Amino acid sequence: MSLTKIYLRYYPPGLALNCRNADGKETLHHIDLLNLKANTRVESVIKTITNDLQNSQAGSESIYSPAAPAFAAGVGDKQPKQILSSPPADEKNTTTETHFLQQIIENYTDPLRQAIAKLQRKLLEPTQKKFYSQRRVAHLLPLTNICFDRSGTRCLTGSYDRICRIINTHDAVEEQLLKGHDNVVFSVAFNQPKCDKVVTGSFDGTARVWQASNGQSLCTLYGHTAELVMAEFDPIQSSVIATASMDGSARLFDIETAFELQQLRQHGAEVIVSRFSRCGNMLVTASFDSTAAIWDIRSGCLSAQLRGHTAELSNCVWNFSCDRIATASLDSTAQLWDVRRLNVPLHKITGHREEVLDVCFDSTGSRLATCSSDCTARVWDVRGDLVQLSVMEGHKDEVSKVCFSPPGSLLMTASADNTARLWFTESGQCSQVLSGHDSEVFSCAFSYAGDIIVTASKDNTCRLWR
Amino acid sequence: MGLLSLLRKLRPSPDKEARILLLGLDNAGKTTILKQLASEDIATVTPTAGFNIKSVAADGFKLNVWDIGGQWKIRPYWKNYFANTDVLIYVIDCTDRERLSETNRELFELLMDNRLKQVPLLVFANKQDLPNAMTASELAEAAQLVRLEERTWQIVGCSAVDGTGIKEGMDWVCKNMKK
Repeated sequence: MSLTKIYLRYYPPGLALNCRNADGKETLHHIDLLNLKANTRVESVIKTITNDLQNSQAGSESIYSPAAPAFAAGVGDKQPKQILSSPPADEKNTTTETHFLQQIIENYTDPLRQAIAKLQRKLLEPTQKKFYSQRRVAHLLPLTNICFDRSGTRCLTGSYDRICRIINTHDAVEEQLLKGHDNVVFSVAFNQPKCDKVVTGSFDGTARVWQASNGQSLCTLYGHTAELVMAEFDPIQSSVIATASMDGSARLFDIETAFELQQLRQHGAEVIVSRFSRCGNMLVTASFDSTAAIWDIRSGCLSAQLRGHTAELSNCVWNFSCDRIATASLDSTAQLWDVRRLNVPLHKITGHREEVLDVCFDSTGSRLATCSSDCTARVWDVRGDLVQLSVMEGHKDEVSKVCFSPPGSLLMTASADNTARLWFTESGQCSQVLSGHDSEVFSCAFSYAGDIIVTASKDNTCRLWR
Repeated sequence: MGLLSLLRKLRPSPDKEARILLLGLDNAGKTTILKQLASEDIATVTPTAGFNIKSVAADGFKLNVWDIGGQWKIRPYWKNYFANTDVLIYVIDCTDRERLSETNRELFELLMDNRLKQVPLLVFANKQDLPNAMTASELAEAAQLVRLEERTWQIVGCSAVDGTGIKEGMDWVCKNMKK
């Protein structure tokens, strides 16, 4: 038994231990250190890890089984369950695994200490830099959504001109043009973390999967009868795509065969969001029918429907640990849900005066940001009781997108006033106005390292800022 | 407005709302008409490189008017906007005799699209304030609008810069909406 490699994850802090057992079999074990602080003593961090391992052995309280998801296409029991019960995990296996990990930690304390110290040094790095417009990429028509790959060397842009572009963030050269859709390309995504494939969702009702390196179309996913507005890879194997459509359904497709695996039908109106949980076993969807829904992927069944809003949902997101869901609605509220108790929201967030247009967690899941037609964004502490931390005031028109910088010290907002803005999360003070677009800013994103920003606008351009 | 409101506008219009599509060649006056409808300043109109959307109240209806850029290279993308259209308004520059056949070809081509099959058509014969403009009836004849047998259609002379004829056209739109 040996530890062959330690991978560091900075945002949120965590380690992945690549271990080899006696038979030479390699496995990867994840340790999340969401509460890591720069000044915590390394010894006590290791102690906490060991304690957590013992607790998990005693309680086995994990909601999800640690196994990779199996995508059952068969039709099971379709009755919705109100509470997400833990799947019958193989208890003996879990115990062995815990024991194995404890051994590893005991035997390799020094390298682990170094790894944790490195994560802590990262937390001390300055994260509130200023950004300057560096490059501009023009499309023929307005842009829609955008995203970065994991390394920040490429970004994806969707557009009304039906083409998705893979852009090199260094020199703004278009590496690939992904052509094939017959209508607006609305959603774009890489398979994280590998980022060798791209999935695009279009108003033509299809999703397409592409090879990122050469722009080759790998498959087209047919089935939806109206505009497709979101498409995402499953986070474990990148072999399944979840889609959301204006036809009122969410669907799962297998990308090897391009077959539809499941139709997730429960919503009474357009489905605008579909997001996998981190383990790939759950999907959350948001709909204009004013509800969100959680689906068990393996059975294709509805697990729970989140009823609490009185108007269309604008977004819904998981926190990193996937034990909370936040929903935003045009009823002027956002709501926070505990995944183990979904019949009522844990908190109603009622500070905004008008429609809440977007919601997101920071990388550790301790804070939530909301933005609204009332021209403000707000940040909330959601660790215990709900506390409003700051209000970002200054935009001259509605704020349609909000996201945290990966370290969490900055908040970025995109607005119809033609600007994106950066704010200090703690104080709500404006750090800088990213101006230059000639029309409203539709979307914005930080690279994973937090050193690059991309903004996309109705003015047919996207801008890269460093 | 944001991407979310673009999604909301994809939905079929509710009872007291309608989706109006404003098309025509570049420099026909679509954006000026849109600004007239919204009672906005028309001094600063530049070529539309994408689209503009405005909601205006008329006759108890909320009209969501989509003004789509008409330059040659972006005309192939007009199809992006066809779904759930309630009325099509086509704007023609009556002083641009040279491009009459071009605008005519574009009009008849888009009328062939299935999604616009049952949609009423209003033709705005724009720029009537200019001395060399064709009249609405001259244009109707030159553009062979009589070929539109099956369709509910109307042609109205107008001047987007001074507003003449716009109200008359929109009254027809409200009366003939496929609702």
